[in-house]
Amino acid sequence: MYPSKFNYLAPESLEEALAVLAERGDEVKILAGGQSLIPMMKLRFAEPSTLLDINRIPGLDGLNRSNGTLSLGSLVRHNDVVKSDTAQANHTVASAAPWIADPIVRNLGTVVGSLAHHDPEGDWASVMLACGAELVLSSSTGERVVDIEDFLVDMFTTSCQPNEMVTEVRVTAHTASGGGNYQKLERKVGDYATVGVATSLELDDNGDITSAGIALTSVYPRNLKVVEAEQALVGHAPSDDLFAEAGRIASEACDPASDIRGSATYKRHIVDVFTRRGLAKSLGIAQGGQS
Amino acid sequence: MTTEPAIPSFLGAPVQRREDPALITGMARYVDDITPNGTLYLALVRSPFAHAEVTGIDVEAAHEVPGVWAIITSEDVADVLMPPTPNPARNVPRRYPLVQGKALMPGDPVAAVVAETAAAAKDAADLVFVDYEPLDVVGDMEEAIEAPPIHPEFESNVAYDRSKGDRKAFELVEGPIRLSGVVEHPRVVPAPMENRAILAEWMEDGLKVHLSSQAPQLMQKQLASDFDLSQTAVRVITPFVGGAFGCKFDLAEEDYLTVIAARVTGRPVKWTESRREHLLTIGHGRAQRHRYEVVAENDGKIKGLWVDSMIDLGCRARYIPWIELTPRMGTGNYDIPVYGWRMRGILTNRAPRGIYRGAGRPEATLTLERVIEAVAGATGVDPAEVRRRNFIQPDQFPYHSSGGAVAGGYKYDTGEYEKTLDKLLEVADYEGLRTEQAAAREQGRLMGIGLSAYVEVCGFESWGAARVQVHPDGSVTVFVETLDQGQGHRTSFAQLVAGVLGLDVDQVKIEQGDTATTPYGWGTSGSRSIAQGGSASHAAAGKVAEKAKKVAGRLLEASAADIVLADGQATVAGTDVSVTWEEVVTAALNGNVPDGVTPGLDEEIHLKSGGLNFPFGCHLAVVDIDPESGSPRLDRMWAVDDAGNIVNPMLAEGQRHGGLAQGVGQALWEQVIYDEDGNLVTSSFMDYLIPTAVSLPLFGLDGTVTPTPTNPLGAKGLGEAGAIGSTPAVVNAVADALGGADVQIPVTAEQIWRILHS
Repeated sequence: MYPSKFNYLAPESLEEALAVLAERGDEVKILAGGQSLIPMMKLRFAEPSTLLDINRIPGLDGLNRSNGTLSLGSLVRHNDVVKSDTAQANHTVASAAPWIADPIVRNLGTVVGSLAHHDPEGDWASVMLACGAELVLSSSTGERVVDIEDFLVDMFTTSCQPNEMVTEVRVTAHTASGGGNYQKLERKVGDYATVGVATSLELDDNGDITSAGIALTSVYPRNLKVVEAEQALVGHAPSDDLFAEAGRIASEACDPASDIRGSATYKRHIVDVFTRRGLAKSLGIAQGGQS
Repeated sequence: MTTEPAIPSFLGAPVQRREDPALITGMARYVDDITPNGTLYLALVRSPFAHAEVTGIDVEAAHEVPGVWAIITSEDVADVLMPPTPNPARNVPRRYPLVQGKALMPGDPVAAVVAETAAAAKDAADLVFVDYEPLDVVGDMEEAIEAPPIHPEFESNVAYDRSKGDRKAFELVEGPIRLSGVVEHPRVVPAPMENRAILAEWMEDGLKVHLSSQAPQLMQKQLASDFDLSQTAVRVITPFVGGAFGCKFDLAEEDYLTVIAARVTGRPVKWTESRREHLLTIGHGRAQRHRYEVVAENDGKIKGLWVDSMIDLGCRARYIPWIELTPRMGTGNYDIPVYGWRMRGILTNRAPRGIYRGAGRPEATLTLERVIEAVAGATGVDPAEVRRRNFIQPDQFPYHSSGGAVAGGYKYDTGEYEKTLDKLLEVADYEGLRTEQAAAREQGRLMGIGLSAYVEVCGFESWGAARVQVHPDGSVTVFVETLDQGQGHRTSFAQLVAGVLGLDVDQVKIEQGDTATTPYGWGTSGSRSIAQGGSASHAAAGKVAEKAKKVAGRLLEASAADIVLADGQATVAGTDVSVTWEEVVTAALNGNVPDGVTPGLDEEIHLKSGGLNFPFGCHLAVVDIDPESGSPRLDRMWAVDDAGNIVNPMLAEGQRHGGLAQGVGQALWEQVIYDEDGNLVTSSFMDYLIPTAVSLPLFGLDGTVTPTPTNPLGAKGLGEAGAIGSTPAVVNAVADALGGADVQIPVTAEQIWRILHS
């Protein structure tokens, strides 16, 4: 119920925040939406000595589309994505947003915060892996752009350094002949995924698949991009058989644990089902059907 | 001459809840909001093991934490024996505020720290170092029977083994359909919005306790007895309560520790339960396993039923006398000629089993309604028809249930079960649903329709108490022994009294929860409040009205029998001759009363009712199942309930919504899970799934009215009905979608998928 003692800083500019990180980033936890961090502190699973609250920093809440890229600043809440027309530029992102936790968490929790926290059962990392996102890491000495695959190191671990802060995530918008989707099985609203599957497709003029993204949630020690399944799709005409093959590969690639959300056998089965379903949904959008 | 209406005019009016502004604006105060000067805070050191010998406690580092006042350990409370009374005959073990030698469940309190802030208390509790020697964990009930006893003073973990009914007679029952099966009732958590909380102060005149409770009067009695005080020296005050569902009907270890800590430190001491502590240590509900055998005719008429039950009491036996509620309600709505049961209570390294909304009746109902479905499946008779053919008929009331005296049933007051079933089938368009289902099946969709019928027993301790006090300005305060936890008594009870006195509802205030001002009573439990406390308030107001009419008669020079109280006036019936209520009150308080009448209008009554009452109803659920994932979705739900006369239909609807949600939660999501080492897996709401509005459909509510003769209002209990009837309806719907499969709660997507792929 009661967290350990901590210092609280609430800078009003990014420079100020980055200066704090430069000076003593080791002992700092950044507070954005706090929907994971604060419960962990209450249970004393996390005992940071300093909280750096970035909520008063202007300019971090941008949700923009430009030149075929959708960008989300560190203070974009899950619910901002749910409500945003701009976010529809990437169908996987738009489809995942309403599945994040529950309405209360969505009002405060942030997309970037979720990625930076890197809970291996988080939904957003799969979305970003399927869509090939990039993250902008800022520090007092400048900024660098990191590919999502290089960003996600291991559960609760990213390549963000103690003196850095993730200030933005960028993801390619789908073209008119692209589509994406997020499938999630949860025991009830607000639960972590029993299984989550993010998919993304781009088609060429012939209707063949030119790029494909598939990533899985909660069925591997971390979010899993299934490269082999993606490769199996590229260059081929979409079909039920092709998607079934992708589903088979994904279900073999994952390594779910048996827990209270379900047995490994069951989760593997759901990966197969949801990969097929997600791809079919993505295809429907890409072909100009229902979104 | 006019005649008074038999029931007050406000009975049946949907008066809006008067307590909500305070609740919504945060003005309502709960125990945790109350902090006298100098309050200290209690934090517990809890066993991380389900079963372990405590071999040493080091409190040195904890004492160093700034702000720590006291640390209480086992020897400090070795002479504080808690209820229930140890009973060697039934293996009811001794219970102390802190473990004596051995921790018996995860979270068992080992030491308590008192400090100036809650954070300091928690910091210090983290620095109490305890040495444990883990022991083998006794988890599953069946294994516990043969396992070494967790309480060494007993020979076995079987605390309780009782049977009733004639087993030989059952074995001789003839019928072409003979079925048996198992119905599991996993542990669930009460989980009210407000956790438990207590604030204890030792005053110049004794002990004052603020307690989140359902029954402050009983808690006062218990504390006085256990701390060797006169009841005049113990005052329990219960402010607003944010839900209880049964879990605030007794005192727990932490309550005793807080009282002891206040005595040791001489300061007010407060303890507020965390959610994790609640999930770990609160009395869990249900926790039963039933094996049934049933014999029936080919037309679905049941001829005999036998239920062999095991109940997981957890590590300490609380509420032993209450556990027979399940077998005693075992025949439910049905006229079953031969019935019997066995019930064994088993001690395990789990949290103690406690009372939870329905408390025994949901278990009886779920098993019975699964039996009905099994009979329907085996005979091919429509499940609605099987119920109809077995219902107790209206002319059989009063009806002695559950095999009569042989199996220790109850005397049901009134009932018309077919009426609720007919209404349900009509409002839900049962035939239309079956047509829709057939079409869905053609398309490969898995739609299921589930029915349930329930009857429950309400109104324990068949008396209630209330005092009505009339103030000089004519306003009225009612002091009641029952305890609102969200039901809306401040509205419904006020309606009853205002109706009798001809006043506006806003002129009537309901006071509850302070033992210094309210009469003795059993508080709120087992859906007794309206029937007992409501009837008592109504009757006390009736006595006030009777006297007020005499006073008014004198003022108006008319016979008291001709006076009508309405609209704030006392009027001579059939005339416009009247005085205001205030004038009557002024006269009464100033001794301007007829000969033989004492001044004042206040009245207190302890009203005995004509026994228990038995509300009933039928529920129907429609589920859709995703054939590939097994995922069930509750699509539609109807409830037709009959709780006799309804005081406030709006409040009644709210009660039913909440109850339905809890019952659905049990059917689909809720379950306490321990791992193999006895650790609690479901120790937060991330893992323990509480139903929320987003997961539920809009409920279709309807009702019938079969009043009870047991109280003047004709009102039966309603608080638990939703939680009793909804679980089996949903389970039966899932089973129906799966072609009559054997399913157990909570019916998870994976369980369904396995059935589909087996």
